[in-house]
Amino acid sequence: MDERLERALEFGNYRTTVSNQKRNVIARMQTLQLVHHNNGSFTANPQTISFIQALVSVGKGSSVVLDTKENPIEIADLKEFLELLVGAYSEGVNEYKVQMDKIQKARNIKKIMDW
Amino acid sequence: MVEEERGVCMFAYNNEKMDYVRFAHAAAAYVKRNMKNNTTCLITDNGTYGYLKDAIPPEFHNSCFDHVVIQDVQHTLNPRRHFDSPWTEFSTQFSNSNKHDVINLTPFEKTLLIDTDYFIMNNFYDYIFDTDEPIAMHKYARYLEHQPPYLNEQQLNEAGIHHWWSTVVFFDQSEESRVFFDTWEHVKDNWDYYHLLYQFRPGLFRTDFCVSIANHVMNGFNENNFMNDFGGVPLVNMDQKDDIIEVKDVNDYIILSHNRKENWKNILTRQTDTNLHLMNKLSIARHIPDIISKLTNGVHK
Repeated sequence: MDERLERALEFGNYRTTVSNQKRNVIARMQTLQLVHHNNGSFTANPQTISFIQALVSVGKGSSVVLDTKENPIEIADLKEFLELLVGAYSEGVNEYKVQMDKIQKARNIKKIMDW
Repeated sequence: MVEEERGVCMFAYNNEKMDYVRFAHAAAAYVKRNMKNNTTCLITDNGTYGYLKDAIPPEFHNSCFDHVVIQDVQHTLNPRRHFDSPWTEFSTQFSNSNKHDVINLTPFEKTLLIDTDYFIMNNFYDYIFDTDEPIAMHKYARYLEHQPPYLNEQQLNEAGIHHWWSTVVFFDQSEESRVFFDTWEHVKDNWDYYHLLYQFRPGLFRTDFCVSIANHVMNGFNENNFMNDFGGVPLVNMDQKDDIIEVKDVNDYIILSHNRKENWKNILTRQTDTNLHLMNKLSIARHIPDIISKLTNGVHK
């Protein structure tokens, strides 16, 4: 095979692998950002965090909040819940950053696979 | 026979080609390592248990399982076609006819039932034990390159009801759960009728289809939300045509993913801290000594 084509195909394979690994890391981050509280499921994303922060900011200590399945969930302590959300959000994005740094530094498939 | 509050169950019935009970020990060791609710129970038969006593060191067995339940059942002939990579296929008995009976066999009030080819590599499922959900199962799945499942794994037929996965089933001892498992058994007992009604091929008895139909019936023949779907988190499947290349660490696998649309394309994927449904059984078998060695820090293989 023409060496130029061989290298191009190898690079294509590498890009496909990088893209798939990035999706794996995003999926892992999304799982880490799931928060289960009082029989409800929440996603620790900026929208949920901002909304809970807004409730805290207007002086609410507790509230009923809709979860990801539109179920009304009573949150007895909004501040504690906010900490849970921020913790899960941070854990997820930190993991994402660590893994993405590794992937971006790896310039070939062997390095991505740590061989 | 409820004895304990919470735990994980698995069925293992060996056949001439598959050492399911060895897979079960690896799956249980993963539960012990990665979950908080990690009391375990093996459900098997006398033949497999006899083999286990000869083939698996007692200290390893005792470190994996807290309970063993023996149920000798006469499994109906249910040959299943398997692949081991795209180039090798074979057929072997698939013994799954008493899976619905787990509600009577489990020693736990709240049970997570997993297949022996499902390796739990993080603590995702712990939360469900703290909820009041009577039953939960995965509604969605994806393969290693984030491809959707095959059409018959998405719906029972082209215009059919949604497919649910019985690979991981969480349940309690509530009335809803009992009705669900009874309905599962009813579908099994009337398989010929239900395959005509729901228009799927009857050849292989699949518990996925039983749970999908039971869920549909209990939802009033609608797509409602009787069943919890683990927050929509998908099951991650390694296809039978994929192959484990290396077990780098206990929770770190390198797997060759086969492209089912373009057969000449295979890419390496690395799965870290991800719960994996390893559908290529022979690939597990090839790596099981290494997996068990890593799980036991080299003490067992």
